[in-house]
Amino acid sequence: MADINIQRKKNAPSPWLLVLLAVAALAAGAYFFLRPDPADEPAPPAVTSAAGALPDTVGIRAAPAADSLAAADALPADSLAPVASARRAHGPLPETVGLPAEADGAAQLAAQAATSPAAPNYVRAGLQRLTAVLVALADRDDLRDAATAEQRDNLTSATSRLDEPTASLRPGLVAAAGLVRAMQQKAYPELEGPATDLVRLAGQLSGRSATAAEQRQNQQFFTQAAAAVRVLSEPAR
Amino acid sequence: METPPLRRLRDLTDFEVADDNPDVRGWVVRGADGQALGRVHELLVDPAALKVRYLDVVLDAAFRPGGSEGHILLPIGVAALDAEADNVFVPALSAASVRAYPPYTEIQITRDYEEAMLRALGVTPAADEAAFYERNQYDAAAFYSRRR
Repeated sequence: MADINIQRKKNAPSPWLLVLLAVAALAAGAYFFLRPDPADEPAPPAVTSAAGALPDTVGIRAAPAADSLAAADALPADSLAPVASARRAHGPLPETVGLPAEADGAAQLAAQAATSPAAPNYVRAGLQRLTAVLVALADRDDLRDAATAEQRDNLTSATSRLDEPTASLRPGLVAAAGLVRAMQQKAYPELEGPATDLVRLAGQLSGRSATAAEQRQNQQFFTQAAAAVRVLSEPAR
Repeated sequence: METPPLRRLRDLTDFEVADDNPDVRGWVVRGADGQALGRVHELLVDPAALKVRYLDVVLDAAFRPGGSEGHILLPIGVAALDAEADNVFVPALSAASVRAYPPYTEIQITRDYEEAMLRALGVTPAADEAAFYERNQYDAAAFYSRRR
């Protein structure tokens, strides 16, 4: 006998289970779409903590970036930073050279100074790098005047023959210190003491690195110069 | 043999119309002349046997006795199915005879009540209690075999 039959309902998944699955799927989707892109995460600092403290005679307020120095042997003594080689021209640099690039130059100077002073080209390479950075600083609108222009010309003139192995390095060292003091007198009164020390120290240098004392003095000079450049790289108050 | 307990299908949460069987609730019920008499309101089933025994039909307002809700029960075998138009045809009923049909007020269905229904449909009640539902009037195969 055929009939209209009824049957027990088939087991169906609980609707709440479907709701939970939907919520889990939405949460997973939101996580993958809204999480920060790993490519957008900030890169680790380019330089590590300083390997050694700066000389006590350097009474300059150090910029945060300048507190980190690369390892002492990270940079060869005769290596030149791209900014240093690009700024060896005696003409004025483009106005687009901004403060962040100068801060990078200061860090490179500090790294250069921290290398071994006994390296054959320690002074020459350091002076070339320092010259490039100081010339770029001197072209800043807020630092350009007759006095800085004169010192800038002195520096470029004193370092015009750095490529010659027999060229004396002392005039360039003295001229670099003079340009630092000129820029200090222009816009950085707080830098007066360190700038004066730098000029005095430059006057004591021989330009050679034959003895341990000379090497020590050379490293002291470049370290103090790097600290001064660090301050000069920040906007004048 | 006692009347088997009949339940409204909607009250049986664990049961449903079997696969390949149409759920005729909501379909229009038409008499012999094709006139609409009402709609199928509910299915009364025998859960033990897993079978539908009656169609609970709610009559249109024109056929309701005064003051009543207008429900009648139809044995499943007295109707013919029109699946294409969702119609249930009851050849034994007409607009005139439906007014004399015993009303259903959702009381317990007794054998006396069932026999009254059969008489209203022009069928002589069976004397054998055991074979009461074996008659054609409760044959769902006949219900679906009259498909148009």
